[in-house]
Amino acid sequence: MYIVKRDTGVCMYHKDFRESIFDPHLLSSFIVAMTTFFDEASGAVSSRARAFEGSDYKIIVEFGDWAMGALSVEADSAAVREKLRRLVASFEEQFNLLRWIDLDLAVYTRFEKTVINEFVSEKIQPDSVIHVKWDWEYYTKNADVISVLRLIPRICTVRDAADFLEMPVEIILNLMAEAYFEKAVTISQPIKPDDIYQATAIVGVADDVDGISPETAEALTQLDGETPLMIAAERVKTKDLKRFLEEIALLARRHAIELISPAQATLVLYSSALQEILDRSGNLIGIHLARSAFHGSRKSLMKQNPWLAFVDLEDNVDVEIKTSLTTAAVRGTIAPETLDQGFLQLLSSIMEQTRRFVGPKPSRAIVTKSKDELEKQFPSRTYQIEWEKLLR
Amino acid sequence: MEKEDPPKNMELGTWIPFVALILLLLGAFGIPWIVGNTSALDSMAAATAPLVAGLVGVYGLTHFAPRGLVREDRFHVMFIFLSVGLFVMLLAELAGIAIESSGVGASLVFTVGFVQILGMISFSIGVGGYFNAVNKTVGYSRPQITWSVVVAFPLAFVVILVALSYDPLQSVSFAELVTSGIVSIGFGVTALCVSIIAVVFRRGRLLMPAIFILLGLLLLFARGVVWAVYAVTPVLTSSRILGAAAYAMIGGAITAARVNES
Repeated sequence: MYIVKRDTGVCMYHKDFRESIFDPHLLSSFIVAMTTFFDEASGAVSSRARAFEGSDYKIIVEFGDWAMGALSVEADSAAVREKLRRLVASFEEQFNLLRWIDLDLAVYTRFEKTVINEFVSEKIQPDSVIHVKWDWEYYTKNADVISVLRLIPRICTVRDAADFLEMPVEIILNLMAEAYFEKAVTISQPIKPDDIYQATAIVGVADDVDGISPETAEALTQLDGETPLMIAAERVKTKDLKRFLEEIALLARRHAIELISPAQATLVLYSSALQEILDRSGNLIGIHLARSAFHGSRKSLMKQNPWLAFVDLEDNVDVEIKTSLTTAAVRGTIAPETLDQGFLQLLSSIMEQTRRFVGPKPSRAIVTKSKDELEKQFPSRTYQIEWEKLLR
Repeated sequence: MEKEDPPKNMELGTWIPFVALILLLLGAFGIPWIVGNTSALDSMAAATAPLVAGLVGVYGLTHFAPRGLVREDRFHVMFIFLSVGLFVMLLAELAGIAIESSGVGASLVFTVGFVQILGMISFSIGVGGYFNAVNKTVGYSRPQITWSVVVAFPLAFVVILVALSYDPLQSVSFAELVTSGIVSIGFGVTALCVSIIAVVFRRGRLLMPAIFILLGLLLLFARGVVWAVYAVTPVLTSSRILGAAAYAMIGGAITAARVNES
């Protein structure tokens, strides 16, 4: 991640989250030169460059008033761009003086917290697994981090570490974020039963399924980017869920399967919730009224959320997500927060209309039963939906 | 964000066929009754009961049948079965007229009850399916418990009533007693289902159609009970008036459902 002064091309701040790929000063000069060149060539008043892409790297850029942010990513997405924009804005605000004069403002120390908040904190959850590097002592100088890393096992979850040290989880989360920032540890996420994976290749490639139980190999056909692991496990009648999840982790390491994007996961969660709600509404008020409740709600929300045009109904009340929206979610060009907000408004409006026909108590029953049903499919993610907003 | 209520004049317009039907009934029964012409009242009742059943049946089917018999849509299916049931009740009324005019007499009047049983079954399938869907969706109690209560009450009520008032010398034959008993128990069970639906939807707009169906079914239940207990056979004027009023109430339910959809 690089923050560059736009008019001089000087790199004011940079941070490598993995191994160093580019020389920061070389890269900052290059980006400024390229954006200036294209702006001049196209006669643009405001810079239009969005990304620089190579065969194995992609650098996205976002512009502030006098600084610009560049971030090397695996895939471009609206969410990452939003983070980068926020980071550039807070840098400009915090170090406004650098716009006019070059001073040593201890940028690296003072900006560290903001970067951790934007890019690191979300990666570390109580269930995240910490892998302490064998040579961690060379990476960190933070005394608190050092004392914690000395005591905890080489591989453990954040919660286990907190229990082991008898410390609050929040403190360990902050210290591990520092340790990750300083590259003293790596973090991996445990596989949860309601995670959604998709097979990356034609299923059953011999090398990929080597050493995998036949049940899990069969489950590969179920990993279509829409089915949670638990449902896939149920469909192939897995007896041992723990082993199944371990094998899924192995397949993920072999890149035979991959976790879907957060936006796609949100889309799947909400489309399942919408289906549950519409099915139950349709049972009570009839399909004709349930369909008009959906269409009426969608129409009223279309101005704020034009993407809702790609959420439709097939026969009866079968929810259909059009390919355009699925593709946007897969590519991350629509942020999970946008989907979250729009779908919540849609569900709330549908429930509002259903309530007028059936009254408050049955409509609460619809919401509660839908939530219970969804919890079976997505045990840990159901509460991403603010169900209480649908209850009244 | 909230769906607009339909304009009031549109809502009132949808009620016109129902209001016309009620006026027809008031005219057909009220005028002969006021002038004291009983033979005119008898003929009016004989003509009006099948006419109303047929008209309401057609009215229901023209609105609900074009959308097809969607299996998952129990609400829609209920109205189709109610409309079909009304056609069967129309046949029952015609059978009553045929028996009465052929002079065969009271000995064959129980056959009218057979046809009514078919109508009752059609009503029960429609209402029962929707009741089941509501019970499953809202799920305040276990379906088995609900069904046991819903069946036990009307069954006990009719059996006890018939047992207490049974008089071997009265003109109700055994065959009539059985058919009218089945008809009244069936309509009683169906009415109890609808009354539970009405309680569930007491604060929603679906209450209106539920109340109309309930009134219709209660009238048909009463018609069966008075036949079983007081020998008021379906070919008698008072029974036909009850029937015509019941069919009109089903018409009210169809109209209320249409108003909700407008």
